[in-house]
Amino acid sequence: MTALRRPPDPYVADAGSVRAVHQFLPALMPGDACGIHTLAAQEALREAGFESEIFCEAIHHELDGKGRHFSEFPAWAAGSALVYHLATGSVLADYVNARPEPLVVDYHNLTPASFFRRWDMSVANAVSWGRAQLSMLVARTALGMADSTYNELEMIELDYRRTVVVPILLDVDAETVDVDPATLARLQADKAGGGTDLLFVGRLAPNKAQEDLIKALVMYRRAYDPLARLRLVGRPATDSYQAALDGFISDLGLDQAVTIASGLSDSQLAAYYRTADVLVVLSEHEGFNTPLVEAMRHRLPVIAYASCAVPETLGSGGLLLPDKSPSTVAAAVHRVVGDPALRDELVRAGSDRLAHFDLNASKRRFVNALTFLTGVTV
Amino acid sequence: MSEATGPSGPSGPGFDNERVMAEIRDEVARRRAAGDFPPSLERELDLVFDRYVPAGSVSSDFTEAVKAADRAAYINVAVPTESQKPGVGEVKRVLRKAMAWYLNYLAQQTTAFATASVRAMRSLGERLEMVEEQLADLAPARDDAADRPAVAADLGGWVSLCIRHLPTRGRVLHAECGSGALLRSLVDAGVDAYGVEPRGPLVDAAAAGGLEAWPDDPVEHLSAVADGYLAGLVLSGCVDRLALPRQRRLIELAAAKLAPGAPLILIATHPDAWSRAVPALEVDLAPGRPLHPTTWAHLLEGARFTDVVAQDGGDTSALSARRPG
Repeated sequence: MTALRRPPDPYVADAGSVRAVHQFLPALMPGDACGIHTLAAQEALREAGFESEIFCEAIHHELDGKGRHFSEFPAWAAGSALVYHLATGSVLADYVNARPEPLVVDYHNLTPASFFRRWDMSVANAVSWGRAQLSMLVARTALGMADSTYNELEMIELDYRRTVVVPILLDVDAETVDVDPATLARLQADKAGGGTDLLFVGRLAPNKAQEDLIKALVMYRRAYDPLARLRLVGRPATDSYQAALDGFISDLGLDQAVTIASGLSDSQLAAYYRTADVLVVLSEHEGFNTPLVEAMRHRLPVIAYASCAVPETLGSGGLLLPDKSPSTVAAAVHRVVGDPALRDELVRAGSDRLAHFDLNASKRRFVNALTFLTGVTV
Repeated sequence: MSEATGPSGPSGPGFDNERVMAEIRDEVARRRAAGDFPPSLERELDLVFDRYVPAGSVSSDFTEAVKAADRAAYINVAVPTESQKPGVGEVKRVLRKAMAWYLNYLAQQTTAFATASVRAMRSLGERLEMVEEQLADLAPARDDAADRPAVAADLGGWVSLCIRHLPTRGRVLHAECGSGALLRSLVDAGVDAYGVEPRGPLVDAAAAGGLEAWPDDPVEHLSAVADGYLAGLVLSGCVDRLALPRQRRLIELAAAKLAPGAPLILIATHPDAWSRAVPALEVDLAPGRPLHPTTWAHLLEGARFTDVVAQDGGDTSALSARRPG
């Protein structure tokens, strides 16, 4: 049996010695941006001629066969490099830390624990654990990869020596969208009765500040459109926060106007993008925010509060708000929805911005970021 | 109101974010003046949601954590020996019996250590609770200006000084803005100014006049503003009655939130004039007292403000200063 031998720090293999790049992420879930990115990265790596498998702690049954449990990874994988996708605390971080292969940490951001402490200590502890692991992996990592400059700066602050920004790998081609006809018909039927549709896509979580969207809806209905609706799409991050939103909606008498949908397929979600009038994002913390890009893909105008990585992701592809008081948001929605010229201008700006996230270009950036390990450039 | 922590919005060719935002601000001001966007409704919405936010639960979290540690303190050496494979269970039982003397020895020490640690943690928790109770008794009264009658100070004498120092580009904050008299003069002079004021009737009056005024506590508002965001800052009212630690905190926040080289104007009431000029209710209930201009100058210089100049105006003084560039 070959004895395990660690390469010398900083765990960088000789360029050209890496023939396989395997990815590790805690959970492979459908519709999850991190999972979509990982699958696209696998495709890019295989297209570049590498062996590439995905190893996880948990795999959703819809993605059976796309990934394997990490316990199946061989004890010694000569000629391999590992990419670890970090977005929460996981035993996988400890696992890859103990491995001998060169390691790339692809950081997708951790929401600060302070957002969750009041709501759910278990979630707060999970993100704190992840942050501790992000620090732990510094000494072990050959390359820190981030999907935004905002995330990259967090890695640099932790002393990651070599870092690179690679946009999240997403299919941004509007022509490839599959729209669920039943969902589309239902939403269009709602729309036939009148009323503006505001959309938000993302986990129900305190950092996403869905309560601010509800407050803005109240102002918007009062001043401009009493029939306006808010559609919140996303799984709850904590039960207590969802219960608070439910109570808030009920207290304001908005049960018919605010709907919460979760567990949607990609094609069902596409129907929401297609029937909405505007995507509104008022998050307090975002490390990238994929729905901004998805909205551009669906030619939906975007209004977003300029926090953290949102300005970087949105670029000039939408309207950035420097404050998010309900009055300002309501007036901004009115301005965008009520002015076809501005709406067209924003849709055009969003389409222009999409070029930055072109999937093929991003795949090349992903593979080329590893050139110093692999010797391969595409 | 929250402020962005990132850049205030890059604008690409063909889409002018700043232009659209200026139009939106005008629309908000018009709607406020028309009563469509009552600040009182924004406050009410905040209050309704706040009812659903779980109360601070640090002590209960600590209790739960100690309980969890207590449950985990006992080390069980009775390793499960069942197995589906024939013979393996028997091997495990033999191994467990053979190693019991060794594992028991380690487990007893580990359990003793864990139990002692949990006991120490409980003791520490009790002592911490006592300290917290004592601190609560010592804590200064909360400066809740929102509970007091709506009386605004007359700042008319300082309008020209403010206009002379404040820039016409970038956001300028006036805290506290009262009913907006000074704020109105600044806006009319082309300054992109907004205000915060904790007293509801005053902020309603300012907003009704088409001014951008927010119901907020000055210290809390400044805490939420992004570092380096403000092109200028006017402080008045709150500076006279905050407790000394909060007055110091206000100056620290001003230094952090102003852009390099940006001006600060601090309008303070003379300590002697304060009890004469301010209603007795406000004087008696205020957690702090006004400072002398020389003291303010000392604090500003301590926070590394430059060009600190104090001007006497009778009952009030104005100090102008700049954040170092």
